[in-house]
Amino acid sequence: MTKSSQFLQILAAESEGLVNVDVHIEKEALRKLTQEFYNVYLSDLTSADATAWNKIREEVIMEMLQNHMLPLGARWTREWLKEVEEDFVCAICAARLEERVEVAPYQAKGQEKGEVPRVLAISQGRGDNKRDWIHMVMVNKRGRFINHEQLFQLGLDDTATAMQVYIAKFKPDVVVVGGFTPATLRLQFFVRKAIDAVYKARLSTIDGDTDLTEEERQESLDAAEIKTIYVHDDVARLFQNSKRATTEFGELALVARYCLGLARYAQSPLCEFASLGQDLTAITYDASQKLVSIHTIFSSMLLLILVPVARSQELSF
Amino acid sequence: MPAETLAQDFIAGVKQNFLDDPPAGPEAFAETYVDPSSAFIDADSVIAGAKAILINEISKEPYLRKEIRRTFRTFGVVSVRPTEKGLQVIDELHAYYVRQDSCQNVHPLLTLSRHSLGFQIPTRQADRKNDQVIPISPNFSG
Repeated sequence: MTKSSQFLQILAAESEGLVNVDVHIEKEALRKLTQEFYNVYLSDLTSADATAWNKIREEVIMEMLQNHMLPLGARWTREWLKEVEEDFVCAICAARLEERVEVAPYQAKGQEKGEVPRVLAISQGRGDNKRDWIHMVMVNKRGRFINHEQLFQLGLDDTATAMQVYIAKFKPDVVVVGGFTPATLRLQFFVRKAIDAVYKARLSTIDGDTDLTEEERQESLDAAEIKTIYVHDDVARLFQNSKRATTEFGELALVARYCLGLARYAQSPLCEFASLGQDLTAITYDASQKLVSIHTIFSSMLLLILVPVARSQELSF
Repeated sequence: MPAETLAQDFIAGVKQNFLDDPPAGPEAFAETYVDPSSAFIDADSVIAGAKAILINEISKEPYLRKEIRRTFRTFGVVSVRPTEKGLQVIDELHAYYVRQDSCQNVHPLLTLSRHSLGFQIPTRQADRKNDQVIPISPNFSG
């Protein structure tokens, strides 16, 4: 039980009045415990007086256990289990957070490790093709917002051409696709098609250029290859509504701000997490996280995130 | 016997200190302490008073308390019984519900995936009469 959040859940159910919880020791263990007390406390004499004294000693032991020690043990066990399981949940959350932040920027083909890519983030929000616009946000290597464009309806030839032109113009190293519903998959297929078209066009240009050396040719081919990826979007979802986003990018639509969050997350998950500040605990790291108080979780994460926070303040990220 | 001595023997699991019974039986011995001017007006009240002092001393002995905590850690169980409200509220779709077959005996509860949300409120009427008993220590089968 100590390596789970089971007891926290039981306590939660108890506080909602759904269950009655009782912590005790099994009958056999209690019998053994009582017997051990008798063995050391009762005298071995068999006279009538000794038997009478032993009876009183038995009563003392029984009463001591029933009225004092067992309730004390039960209270202590409840607290102990709660503490141990809270620590367990905190450790899981801290480990998940560490997993999420201890990540280098996305490494596009042909780039060096740690090199920050140019990112194009595309989203259609809820993905309702008749109502929602497709937002595209371009972010440069320094994490600065470069351009925002919005297109209408997937599947139209005009939209596809506009997207191809946009990708060819800004030459992103990677495209991040995101959204709030499974309809995002449709967007991903659409974007993939557009990227393939751009890639084919570039390929024919490279093939036609006879002046290129083999090495330059390979570099050009690597640069022409663009991947579409998904990233964890929980940080971007918080970012789109944050005060920071509204003051800095107030003129952008909500989904465009979401795109910006996605792009920045692909570039540096660490900095994005760090700039969340207090909202750090609003992200779900584990299903049982809600059973532990925010302060407990936060204090366990504080050390992990303190240094990056300080750094992000310096960089005014 | 002082509480510390009792604790020493209890922890050692061997009787090392032996008691000397008073020269008379409890009733007769208590009579010698009867004092009509105090609260101890008869032998029974003297015995009750003496027992209260003993219980108080033994239950405050730190080493014994430690042993009790150890016993709870090893042999403790948490028993969960749904209240009337719980029986109505917790159905198959509730977060606190776990499938019936995951609880054939008490062991699987320990091996449940962390995300499968905990303990089980039995759904069948027959099962509902029983407590759900979960051992605290994985080595103890309950």
